[in-house]
Amino acid sequence: MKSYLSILKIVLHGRSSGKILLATVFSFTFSIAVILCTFGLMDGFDHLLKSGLRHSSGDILITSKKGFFQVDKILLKAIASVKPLAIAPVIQTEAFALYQGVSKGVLVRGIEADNFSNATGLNVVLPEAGLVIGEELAHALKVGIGDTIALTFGRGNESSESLPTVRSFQVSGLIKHGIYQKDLRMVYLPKKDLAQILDVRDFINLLIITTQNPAKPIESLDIIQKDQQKLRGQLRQEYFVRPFWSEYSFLIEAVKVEKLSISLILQMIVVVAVFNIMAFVIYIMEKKAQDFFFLRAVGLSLKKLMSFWFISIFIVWAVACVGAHILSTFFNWCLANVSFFQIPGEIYVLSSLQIRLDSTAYITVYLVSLVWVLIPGLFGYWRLKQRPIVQGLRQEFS
Amino acid sequence: MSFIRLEQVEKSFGKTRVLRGLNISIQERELVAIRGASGSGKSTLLYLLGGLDQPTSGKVIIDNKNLHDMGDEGLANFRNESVGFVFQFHFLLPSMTCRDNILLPARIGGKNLKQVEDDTAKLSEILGVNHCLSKYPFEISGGEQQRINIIRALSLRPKILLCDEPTGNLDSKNSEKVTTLLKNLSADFNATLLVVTHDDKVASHFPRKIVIEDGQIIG
Repeated sequence: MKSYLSILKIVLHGRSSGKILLATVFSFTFSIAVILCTFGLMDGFDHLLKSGLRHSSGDILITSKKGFFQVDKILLKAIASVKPLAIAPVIQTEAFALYQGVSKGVLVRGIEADNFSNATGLNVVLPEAGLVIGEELAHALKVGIGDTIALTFGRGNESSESLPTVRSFQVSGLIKHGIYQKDLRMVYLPKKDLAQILDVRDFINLLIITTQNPAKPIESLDIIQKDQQKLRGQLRQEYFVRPFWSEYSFLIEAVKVEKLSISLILQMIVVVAVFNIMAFVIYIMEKKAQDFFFLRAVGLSLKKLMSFWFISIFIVWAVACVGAHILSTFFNWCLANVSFFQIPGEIYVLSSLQIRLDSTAYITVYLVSLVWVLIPGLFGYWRLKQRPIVQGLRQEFS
Repeated sequence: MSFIRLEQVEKSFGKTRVLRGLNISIQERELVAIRGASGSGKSTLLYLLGGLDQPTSGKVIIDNKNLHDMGDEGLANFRNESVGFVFQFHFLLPSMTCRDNILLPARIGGKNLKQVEDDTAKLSEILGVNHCLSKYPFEISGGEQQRINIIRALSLRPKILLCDEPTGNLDSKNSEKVTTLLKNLSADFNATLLVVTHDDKVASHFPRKIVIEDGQIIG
């Protein structure tokens, strides 16, 4: 340890050496942080999109070509084959929400709150004659809890079919799916209220099925896809069976492709950082060559030199990794709390972004960066090893 | 049996033959001056003896060990424990105080620093550089730097003290002082002293002189 510190002191002697080392570590830290944040953002996007979709659609959605349908024994038998954790019958229809002269097109869903919450993981509390609206919709209409809004439905009643049905409801809660469009359009009513308004009795036009625990993030879509295919095989032709991501499947696919292409591009950032490290190594080699050869002359073996060299590289790498972790955590905090970092939901689909990195992502990024940093390290060591001590002493002392 | 033995030692750099079949025997604690003109191969010989370089052919045997068989780790230990180098350029590291410069070989070798510190404190008192120990090399005079350099070379009580033109940068008065000092200290430390010099005056202080010309011993 003492010999390591002695050598380190020699290497870092001089203001320029310390500054260059700091700059090198910082550039490497920054490079790793950029990679972590980019992967984290993509994983976060993927995760938020999936969880947001599941919050509104469960795992599998069943609709009928006829529009409204009843949940009969045949349908229930088919559904039982995928061992559902929860089933939520839903009536959904389009309407206009009106409040103080402002109107907005909305998707009204009539739900049984408990069933819907079990199937989607979205905690919806619906009191009698109340309704719950998406946070962005409340923002757009400037509505708060306790305010009364009017919903106009496309079809009138028996006596005046050509006129819309208008009903008033008190806003009893706001809800956030995490997907901007859904938060801007969704309105939840008790199912029986909507059934009465639309006069559809016990018919529904959407059945939400959950086969995986909605409280846990979905790791692979394959299981749900298998269930969907199984269900499609069991059900008659009149039903559409779609997985929850079908609405935004192009985005999920795009993120997957982007992740692969960006990971290749991001290697360039690491390569730039590696050039910085290489520049530092060459600088140290040139500037401290005398010192190194003298140390070799007084008994520093190649083995000890190699230990020093690689311990130093490992420390640079470890410091950069810790720094990158701190930077990415800070960036994540900024995403959640600083308005400058908020994204426009209408463009990016999600209301907000977050960095989400699992241990595999950390390990991959850190290991790849270690491999990259070892390359200039090996180059530096090879340069030191190549020159015999005498040749070094003669050249450096002449 | 001789303490240092060179058998048919040849050294070439590319096509240039620097040493041509040298055979030398040196006894333990012997004081030897290696004299020769610039480019005669005397420094190359010193580097071979110090394990800093390997001969192209032939054997360098010190204390019954062939340096060629030692490997890098063994040679590094040999240089650290058995050899003290005094170069013409004292090369004290500017990042360290004189004390740390002196302790550098001990630190590299993982030696007991307390013991080495005690030994070198006595030596620096004898050489009159006690006041320099906490100073940086650039804060002391050239003569003091050379004495610190000598203390460093002797810090681990080496069996061999190898000096490459140790008086090359000194005036004649200081040159004589340093030569006498090296002789006396080698005797005190029971070290074998080999001094490479082109200066006849310095060489005259030594009971044995090896004269090299064009890589061969001529006297």
